[in-house]
Amino acid sequence: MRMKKKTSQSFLFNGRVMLMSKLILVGIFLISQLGAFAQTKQVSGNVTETGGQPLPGVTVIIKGTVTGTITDVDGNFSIPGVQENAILVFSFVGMRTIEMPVANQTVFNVTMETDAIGLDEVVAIGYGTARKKDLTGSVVNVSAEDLENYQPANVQELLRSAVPGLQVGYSTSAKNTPEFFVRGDNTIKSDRDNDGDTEEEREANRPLVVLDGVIFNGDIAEINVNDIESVDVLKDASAASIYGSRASNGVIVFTTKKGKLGKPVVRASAKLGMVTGAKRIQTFKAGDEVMGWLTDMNEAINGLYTNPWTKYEKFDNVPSEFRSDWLDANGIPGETDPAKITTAWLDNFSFETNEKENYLAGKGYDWQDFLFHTGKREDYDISVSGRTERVSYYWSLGYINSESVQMNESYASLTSRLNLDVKVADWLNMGINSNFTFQDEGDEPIGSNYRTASPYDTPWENEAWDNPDVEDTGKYPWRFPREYLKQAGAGSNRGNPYLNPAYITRLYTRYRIFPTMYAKLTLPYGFTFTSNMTTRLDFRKRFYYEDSANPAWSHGGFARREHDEGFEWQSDNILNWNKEFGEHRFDVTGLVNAEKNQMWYTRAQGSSYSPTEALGYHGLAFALVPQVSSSDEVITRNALMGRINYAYGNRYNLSASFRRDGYSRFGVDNVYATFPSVSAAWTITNEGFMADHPAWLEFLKLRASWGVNGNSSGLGAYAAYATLSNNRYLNYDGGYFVAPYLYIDRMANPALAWEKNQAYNFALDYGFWQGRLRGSLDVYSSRTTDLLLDKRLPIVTGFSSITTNVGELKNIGFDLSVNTINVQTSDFVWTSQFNVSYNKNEIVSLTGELVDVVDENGNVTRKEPDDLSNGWFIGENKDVIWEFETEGVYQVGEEDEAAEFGLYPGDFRYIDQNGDGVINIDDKVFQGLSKNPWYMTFRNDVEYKGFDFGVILLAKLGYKGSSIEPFNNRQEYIKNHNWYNIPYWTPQNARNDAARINSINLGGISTPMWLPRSYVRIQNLALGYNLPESILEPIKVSRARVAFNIDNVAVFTKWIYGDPESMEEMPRTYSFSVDFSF
Amino acid sequence: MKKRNNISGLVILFLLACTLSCNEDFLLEKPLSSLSPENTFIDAGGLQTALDASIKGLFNQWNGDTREMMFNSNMSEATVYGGTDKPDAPTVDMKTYATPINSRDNDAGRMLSVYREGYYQIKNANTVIDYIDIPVWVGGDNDPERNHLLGSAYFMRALWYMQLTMGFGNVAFPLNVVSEATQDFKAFHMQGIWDQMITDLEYAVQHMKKKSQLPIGQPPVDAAKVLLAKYYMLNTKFAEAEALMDQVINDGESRLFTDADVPNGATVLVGGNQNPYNGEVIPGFDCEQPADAINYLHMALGSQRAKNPEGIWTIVNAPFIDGKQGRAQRVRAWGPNLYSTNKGVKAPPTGTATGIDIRQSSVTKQMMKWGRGQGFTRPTNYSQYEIWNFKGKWDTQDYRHKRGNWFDMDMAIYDHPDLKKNDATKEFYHEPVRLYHEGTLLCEDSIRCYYGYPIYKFWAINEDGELRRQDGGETDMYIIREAEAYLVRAEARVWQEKWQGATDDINVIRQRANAIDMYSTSDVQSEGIGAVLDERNRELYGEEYRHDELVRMSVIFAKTGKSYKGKTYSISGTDIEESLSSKSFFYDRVIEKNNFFRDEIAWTTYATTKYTLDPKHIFWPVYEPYLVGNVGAKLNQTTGYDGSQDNIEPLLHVVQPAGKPNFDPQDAIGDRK
Repeated sequence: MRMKKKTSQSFLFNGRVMLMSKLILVGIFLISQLGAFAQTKQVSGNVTETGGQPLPGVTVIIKGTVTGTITDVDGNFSIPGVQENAILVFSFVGMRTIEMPVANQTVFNVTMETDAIGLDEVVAIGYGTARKKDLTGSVVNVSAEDLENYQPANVQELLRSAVPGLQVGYSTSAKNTPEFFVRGDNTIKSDRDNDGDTEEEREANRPLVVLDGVIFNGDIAEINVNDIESVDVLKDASAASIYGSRASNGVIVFTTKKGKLGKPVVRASAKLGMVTGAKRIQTFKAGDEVMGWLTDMNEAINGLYTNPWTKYEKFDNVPSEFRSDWLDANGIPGETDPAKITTAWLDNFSFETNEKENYLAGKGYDWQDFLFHTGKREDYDISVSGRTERVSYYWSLGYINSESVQMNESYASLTSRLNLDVKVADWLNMGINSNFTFQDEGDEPIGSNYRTASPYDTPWENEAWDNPDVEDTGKYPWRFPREYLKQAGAGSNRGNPYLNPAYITRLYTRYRIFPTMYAKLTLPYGFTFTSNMTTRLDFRKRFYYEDSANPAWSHGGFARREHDEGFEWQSDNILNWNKEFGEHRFDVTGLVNAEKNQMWYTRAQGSSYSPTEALGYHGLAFALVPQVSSSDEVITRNALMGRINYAYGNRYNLSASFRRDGYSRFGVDNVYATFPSVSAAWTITNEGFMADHPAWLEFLKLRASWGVNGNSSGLGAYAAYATLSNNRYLNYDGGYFVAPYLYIDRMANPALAWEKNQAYNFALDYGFWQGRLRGSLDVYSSRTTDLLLDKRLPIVTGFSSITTNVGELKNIGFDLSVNTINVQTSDFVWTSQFNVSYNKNEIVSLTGELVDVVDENGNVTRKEPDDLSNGWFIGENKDVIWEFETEGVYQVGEEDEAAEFGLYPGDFRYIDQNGDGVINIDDKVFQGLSKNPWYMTFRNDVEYKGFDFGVILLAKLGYKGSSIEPFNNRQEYIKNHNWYNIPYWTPQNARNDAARINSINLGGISTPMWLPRSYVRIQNLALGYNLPESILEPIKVSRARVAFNIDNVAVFTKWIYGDPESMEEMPRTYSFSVDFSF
Repeated sequence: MKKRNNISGLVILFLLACTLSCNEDFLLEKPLSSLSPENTFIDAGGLQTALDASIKGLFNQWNGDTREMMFNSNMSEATVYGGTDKPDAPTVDMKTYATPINSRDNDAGRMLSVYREGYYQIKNANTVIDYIDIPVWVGGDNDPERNHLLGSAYFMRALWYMQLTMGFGNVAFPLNVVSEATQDFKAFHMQGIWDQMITDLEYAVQHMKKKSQLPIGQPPVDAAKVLLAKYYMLNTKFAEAEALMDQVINDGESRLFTDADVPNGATVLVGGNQNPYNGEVIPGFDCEQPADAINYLHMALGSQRAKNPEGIWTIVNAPFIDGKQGRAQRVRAWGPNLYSTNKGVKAPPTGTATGIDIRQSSVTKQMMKWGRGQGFTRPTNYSQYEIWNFKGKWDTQDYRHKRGNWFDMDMAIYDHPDLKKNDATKEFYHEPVRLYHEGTLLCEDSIRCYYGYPIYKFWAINEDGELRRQDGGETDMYIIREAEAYLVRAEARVWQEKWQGATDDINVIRQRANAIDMYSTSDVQSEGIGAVLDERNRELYGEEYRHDELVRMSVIFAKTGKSYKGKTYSISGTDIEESLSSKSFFYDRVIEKNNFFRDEIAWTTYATTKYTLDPKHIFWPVYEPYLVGNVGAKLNQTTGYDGSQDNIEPLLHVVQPAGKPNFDPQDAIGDRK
């Protein structure tokens, strides 16, 4: 009994709960070894930072035991019963650990220094934690605190520049959920739905997300960035292999905040922002710009480029000797009334009535004003946290209300998190980490296509403007009543983007609850047993109603209710053993996991409401034409995992793991796979022979790892089964009746199995000049085999593709981080962080089958065929561009040359690579990469007294983007009254980077041109001020900060068709925030 | 001790968790909301759904822009593609743009989807054939239900192979559902494909049910007989073809619809008289016309077409039934574009002001009346003028060309409200549309925007979706009707030089249509197949795969050595595709009758674009990406197109017996080792 009591007193918490488990283990182990009592005394003291401020929460421990305490809010500590031969160890995250022999001292006043290298930081490694100094794999830890200055509004902003080898994409929507990528793409996927984008491949290369130790299948927007304590990115195979089957794309581990010892801390922050348009492709503005375009375009299409005058030219610009001809050509001989002359001219361009009125009245509009606005962003957060002896708690509430630049597009969310840990008994902790989210996607957004919108047209009939009888709110989008909305915009098939949203009511909401309940048993002999049970509930509603008052609709009212329900459970049982024998340290982990994901979807909809549609989507029963459908899936997985971490002294670390996974989406023959890994590290600077290493050399560590991981993402539901598509049509038998028709749309593949990725990682961690210069270099190579490939089949099979395990992809690359403390004085600090990553891949194999191939010389060789339809080539990068090559534009005088290919001056000059006089598939050549091999971020932070200033630069280099715009041959021209303001060729304005209007694109109308897309962006600029204590003390506030920052400040690029990243819009955000703790 | 208990408890718990999660059943996934072949194609009802998929595939060729069917017509002498805003259309300047890399797959050219969808639908027909003996049939191999399904699947497969061989010549020839990633297809000589199809269709006409035994929408045995007759003629078995048509005409399942069937005093709407938004009467031509045998036969009202006795095989579609099938959009595809582009219908006196209100909204009157045509199919002078100028008479008595049934541009009126605002134009407001005013051309793009056509068979009010899209609503359409049976028999008789019988068959059709003059036997004898083709064009404009008929006749000319206007054709060697690609009846006929290709007429919208045609264009290029996936063997490109220089000799098929699942033709002849 006495021993137990002592144990409870000696339990330590250092504020970072992630340390807890380790310490508990160590503690239990040591207690069991405790022998007789020697002579003891009480020691006490005070711990401060370099600046003299007291440091609470510092762990003070007697070396080799778990006896100890932590400093209080004033930095004071006291430990009874300390033996004279003991050594006190002072440790605190981010500070250099200090050891002091007790001897005959009883008072210890210690000053701790920040440790730039952070070797004692605790890192989440999956089903456990480790100290940074013990790491053998590539794990990068990001503390949320480090990035606080930039006021990240979401997780992606937090991580965008923080981790070498982690790329974060962009999203321009109000909800803002971009993609993450760790290192290169390890898998390739075809454009299965043939929509020209690569979302299939992006999805299959998504890293696994783990939240508080549990695999997180949710939406990144569920995680409130303010709840995040730290993020660990597991990059290499050995680190990630703990998660086996889903880890080949890397793992991002989020750890949320836990209560810290001391009185309750309340933190509140508010952030207000504005989202504005930044780089966007412009259209011609009202006036000479657009009229000049219309003139040029019509002259070009009618082949009148070189005429001295044309009827499309503005009358005033026609040389006087041709003016009467002009009047004749426009059907108004001898006309002198300028209004009539202008009207005749406008008729040439098929201006509609309202456009002519507006032109004559000198009115012009920019549709960007109708379709985009400055969006508001609000973000309010409050949290309460603290810890008593037995209970640790953290509770937060966050509210986000955000708009995008697109009119009417919004997203609101409410998140709440409760992290609670109760020490029920000395050997048992129980708790819950739970997250609640409510998301609301707001009203139907107003479409944002402005490309062909006439600057003399508006969303409303002209009668609404300047008419005192029409109510004018002065504000978009609903400036005038909806009755005045035009049913279609001027031009062909323009529609009116305002029309339908004005008659749509919708409720797009989602609730998600994600609690992890756990019990942790601390057992003798260094064992701990943790059992997690996680459930996840997800309810999504999409209710939608179209009001038949919209003159464009004749469905008699239409309403739809869609319900998605998900219920998922995961069970993790983890047994851990941690023991130290002299210089040997063991940490052994075993895991048994099972999970089940169940999704149910129901859609009910109806049209033709009677007697009334007044109830909208609430009253589906009144629809005379009802329709229903459903889609369910149940997926199961399980896993067994074992891991041994071994350390010898402070120099050698070794880790080995083994995991076996099962997944129900694979073919019945192959549900299981195993994933091993081995890794080791050597801390050179701790070797005896390095004892007299030069002072500037602080730290050197070598790491090497090998591991195999799996990938199962990107696989559709029931991928191993032959499936039937399901549809209906009509037959007639005395009356129309609906008949089902079904056909096989996928072949069965019972052998469908895991995609495997085998990777090596070699790394060097370095620190010089007391950490003033520090960082890591990781070099890796990986090979993915048994790719889950959608092999394109010849169409004559009746199938477009089949998913099979064939092919092999190689990746090599490196991640380098360089962190420097450039200047450090008592009130001025300047630090920099430079991250660069490079990745290159190569397709090694696609089918594994050799066929006869005839080379240029007519010799037959056996090799694997390329997959031309997917654009995959053996021995090439998967992102290689394979396209016709052009070389400038045929100029006037080169008619004959052009005619050989059926082309004309103003058309791009195609390079006939094999000189056979025909441009065909044999003339396609490799032209660089469509994805950036280089990704760099460069961050600088300056602190001066209470002020801080930061700037982040981001660069994506070495790639090209595609655009069909340089061809200037869109069929929409002739029917519309505006276009993008982009270069085009005319004989008078000869150029080589853009073709004539209606040029001929030999590759076909949708074949793009590839142009350099690399860019450097000033990603973020932050300015903040921490109010001094002298002001805060009297008002009982412990911390207060005001900050201003700008996201997407500027971009530098050669790309001219919109922002190089999004290819169209990329908003700029200004935000202002205040943040208090008390 | 307590701790030891804890530990052993723990180990037990761990092991328990292990056994639970290692349970094999736990990882067994069962499809919940989608069906699989194993649980669906196990009875007659299941196999019927696969057959229905293939049938729906054919419906898709007519619905929505009249897709492949319209494209097929534009590749003949009857019509040309008129969408003058797509200068890379592979159907216009064919010498430049009909290439294996042109990716156009829309109104401007359907080479891609004819090929792609053809093989998709062959897969669906093959599904029925492969799985035919999975169900337990009461009558075994003689079970009538089994044999009807099998025969129907043969019929559908033969229909697709007819399209593929007429479109692309020698092609790959799968007769089974591919169950593994096969990538070594080779082309077969089309003759072998036809021989197999004839064997299959001979089985089909023995076993398929009659129209009266089936719901409308299902192909009856008479449809198979029409198709088999065409196949027979490909093999110069004209007497057999004629005999089949005798059966179809005499079996009482379908018959011609005549004036006697038209209810007294009935009227037919050939266009819209009311604005569908508000019911208000639209000014201009009164579209409510007295009923006659032709406009009533084609009237899109209720289920009239589905019930009409003339239909042999009919596409079933109707407004507001589940909305699954989409609109036919026949007016959009076949009607002139009165409403858009700045070279369209302009008002007098100078042709500069827009003549017709082109706003896409509830106020647009003429669009509601005549439908929102896009001019994708432009009749040639042959279709618009020559065939109606019969024996020196401009025949407007013929119901098929009677004003009202036939749309003429001057039935539309200028209704642009701006015309009223201008002194010069206001007198023309609500006046009929015209092409010239005192010598001034008023419509520059007359290819797309100015022509007449038989609106009676295209117009259908759109009650579904967006009312402003009055481009042809959901409607039933005849795929094969009795009139074609007469014209197929006339053709069979012409080949046999049975001039009197051929004349009778043609005149039956003309009489029903109230034409002024009939053919005499000597007319038919002197015009030969031209008489049949002319009458087909009058009767079946917009209802036939005209290109395929011309190619089929080209084969017959080449095989028989018969002459057409002094020209004779032949097959040199064994390769029909190669022979026809250099010289064919198709090319000569199109150049003779199609003024656009003959005169290489240029567009006004894109001055450098003109209609061009070479003999090789009888067959179309195969879209290159469709071939490159076939890495295990050379799958031939169509003769004359880039890539065909590497073609290999097509395989010779050995005909397999009908009545049971097929062997893979390549395996059967030992081509795959």
